[in-house]
Amino acid sequence: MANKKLTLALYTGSVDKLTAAGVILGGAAAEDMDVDIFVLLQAAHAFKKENAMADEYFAEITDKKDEFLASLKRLNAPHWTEAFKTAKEMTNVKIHICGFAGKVWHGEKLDDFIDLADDICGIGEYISSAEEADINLFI
Amino acid sequence: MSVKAVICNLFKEPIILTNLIFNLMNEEELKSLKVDKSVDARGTSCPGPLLAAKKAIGQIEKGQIMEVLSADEGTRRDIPKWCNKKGFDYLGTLEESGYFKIFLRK
Repeated sequence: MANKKLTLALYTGSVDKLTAAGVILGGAAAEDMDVDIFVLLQAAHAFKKENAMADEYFAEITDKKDEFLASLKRLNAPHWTEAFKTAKEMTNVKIHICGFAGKVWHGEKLDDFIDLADDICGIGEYISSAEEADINLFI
Repeated sequence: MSVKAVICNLFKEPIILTNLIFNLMNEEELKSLKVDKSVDARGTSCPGPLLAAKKAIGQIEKGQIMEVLSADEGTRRDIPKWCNKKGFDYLGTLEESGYFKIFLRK
């Protein structure tokens, strides 16, 4: 029986939503799913080498960021980059940076982004991937 | 067709209940189980324990017993469900002080 497929349109650049995405990837990895991640606009900013560990932005209740980061430490929870990396080691995960989004933040080539990224792609690939997926998410 | 499959079909219920009827051990039996692999996931939160279990299951043979130690509530239901999906036998859960032990057979 073929693996189930998860397509994730990752738009967010805020550390809390990226952390949530990391947990979801963990769940997908536990199920041996094939995962396609499309790193869009604000996420492309977070995926840039100089930004990934900055943990600068927190969505919605913005004054809770410090409490969130402190709790991650307390609960021994991994940074989202670690969670993504673990998922990649455990199941088939492909991370595509949206070409346009990359350019918005002056990321012209793959090397401008963290090692997690596999390639730079266009919208056609996202649509094809989403069409075939069992689970489609926009975070 | 296995007896389990027959029962599932007969009562049209998901494998979970059937697995429980066939495999669930009582406290005595769980305490005296010979464990082939122990996974201590007490330091991590979801999805940590589940991923640790998945990694470890690759290191034991079919028929061997694994125990997973965790203090994470979500894990309590996650692992039995995962067992059912993967065809492992969920054997039961022991409550300890501040954490629990889940037993399964590959």
